Amino acid sequence: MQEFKDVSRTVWQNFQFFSTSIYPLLFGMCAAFFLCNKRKKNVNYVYLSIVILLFFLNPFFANNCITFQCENSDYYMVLCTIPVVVLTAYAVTEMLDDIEKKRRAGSCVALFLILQAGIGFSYTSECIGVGIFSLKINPEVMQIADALHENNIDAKTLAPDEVASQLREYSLATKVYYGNGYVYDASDMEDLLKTARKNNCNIIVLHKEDDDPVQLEKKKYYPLMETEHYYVYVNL
Amino acid sequence: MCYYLIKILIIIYYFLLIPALLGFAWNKIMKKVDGNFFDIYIHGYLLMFAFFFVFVTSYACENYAFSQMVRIWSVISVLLPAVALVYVIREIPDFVGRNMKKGLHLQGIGKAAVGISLILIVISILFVVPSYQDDTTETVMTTLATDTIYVRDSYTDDTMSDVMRNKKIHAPIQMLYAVVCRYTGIHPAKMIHYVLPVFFLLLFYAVYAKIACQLFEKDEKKRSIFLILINVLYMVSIYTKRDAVFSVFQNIWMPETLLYNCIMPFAICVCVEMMNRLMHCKPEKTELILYACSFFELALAAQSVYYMGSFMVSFLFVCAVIIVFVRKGYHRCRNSKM
Repeated sequence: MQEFKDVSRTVWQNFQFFSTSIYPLLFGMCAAFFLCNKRKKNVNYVYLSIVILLFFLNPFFANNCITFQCENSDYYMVLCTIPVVVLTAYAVTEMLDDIEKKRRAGSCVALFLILQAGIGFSYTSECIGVGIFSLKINPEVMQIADALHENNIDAKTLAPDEVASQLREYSLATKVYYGNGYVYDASDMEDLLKTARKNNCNIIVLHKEDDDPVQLEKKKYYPLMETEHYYVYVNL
Repeated sequence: MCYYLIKILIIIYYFLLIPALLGFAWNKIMKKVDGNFFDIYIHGYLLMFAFFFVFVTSYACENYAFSQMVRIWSVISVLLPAVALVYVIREIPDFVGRNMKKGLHLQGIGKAAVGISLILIVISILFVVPSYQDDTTETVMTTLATDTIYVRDSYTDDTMSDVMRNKKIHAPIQMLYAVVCRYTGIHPAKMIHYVLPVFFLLLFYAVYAKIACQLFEKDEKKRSIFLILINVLYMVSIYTKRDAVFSVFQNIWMPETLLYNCIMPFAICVCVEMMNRLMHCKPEKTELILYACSFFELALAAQSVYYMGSFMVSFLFVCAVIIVFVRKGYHRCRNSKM
């Protein structure tokens, strides 16, 4: 039974990993629909997409682009010029028109399921926050910023993404070590403390499940406050 | 009460009146007889971004303070719409009357499309939390606090490297938000999270309504289905961890989001219109000049929001021209063989 659960979990994770390839497949099907369709009305959208893709894959173009125009990590943005959403919506609208009336509802349901499969059936409520006119900032982040301000701490903070990205939206009194390619990872506490020391971060914010007071105290980080989901440590 | 009214009037002036006047002026210059409100709104914004880009890049290179930039822009932002108003004042009543007569005449599914769009706008403004990658609010707050333009990093408060500063100065859209925050005194987080989405989401829908008109012309039912599908595809980012398409309803004000979901789709629409025209007939000189003007407008507007913006637009136009040449050559070969 346990083996079956492990196998199912692995299959599900792999499915979620590969599921985004459904979108390029969907796009390819839509492009093929227009190329094969006798009603070639706005087929220029398809030609434009194909030419952009061919240029993107061309090493000569890529090399010149990276040398003169953009950074290596930004080259994939050229793909974003392909009108994927427009072409997909256009193709589906035309396809729905071709389908018999009694099969349209079923087609819409099938399309919706394909879209959900494309996102790997992974859902989150992280993007929804209730609190009209609260600046759309997490109240815990505001609590942390207020506490640092009240304690008169000249703070440079190392915090999880959801905290670090909002601290300076609320108050500029706190500096944050965030962005520029840095990825916060509290699974290795020693590494985190090294990063904090290297960047002169005197405040560390941790999820409660990542808390390790013994190691933090060894490096002279002491508890300052706690909120519903976070502990805040200060190096005095 | 008066204080809030003044803030609202300033916001309406900067985000509605200026784009509208610039859009009307563009409509007249391009000699568009059959223009509609979507054209006015889209072109108005593109022109506003383009003018702002030209102003900031020629200004910030001299390392002046942000407050000085605000003073100079306040003069420009009064003169420019005033000139546009004088230029188009006689055409506005005709244009408005003509478009009001046409009206929307929405049927059942059209009303559903508009209804879904309005609901998504309200949900986006009131409930959707911006993504962690967005640093617009921090950048604007840092600008207002330090009175500098892209000198200090928005998170660490360290001095920005020259490379990063150069990148940012050549895509100064966030300074436009900072300027309006300075005029109104509204907190940047409120301005960016609640005010900007109202106007930018309308811009997003105007672009896709324009594309729908191009694709389906007078077929209102298909246009409505198309818009519903656009909503379904884009709203995925509200409820999934995967950013399957760009986060329009999360942070439409973010430079990359504005570029890839408003400016680039419209650039593609203009390219396809140009391609359709060039495929069927030999263009006149005036037509080519008008297409060139559209290209410059799009390139400057795209550059104002992202450092690769003008390159993307140029690349798109080059691809479009190549396709037209290849297709025309192919048709010529096929006709000569026959």
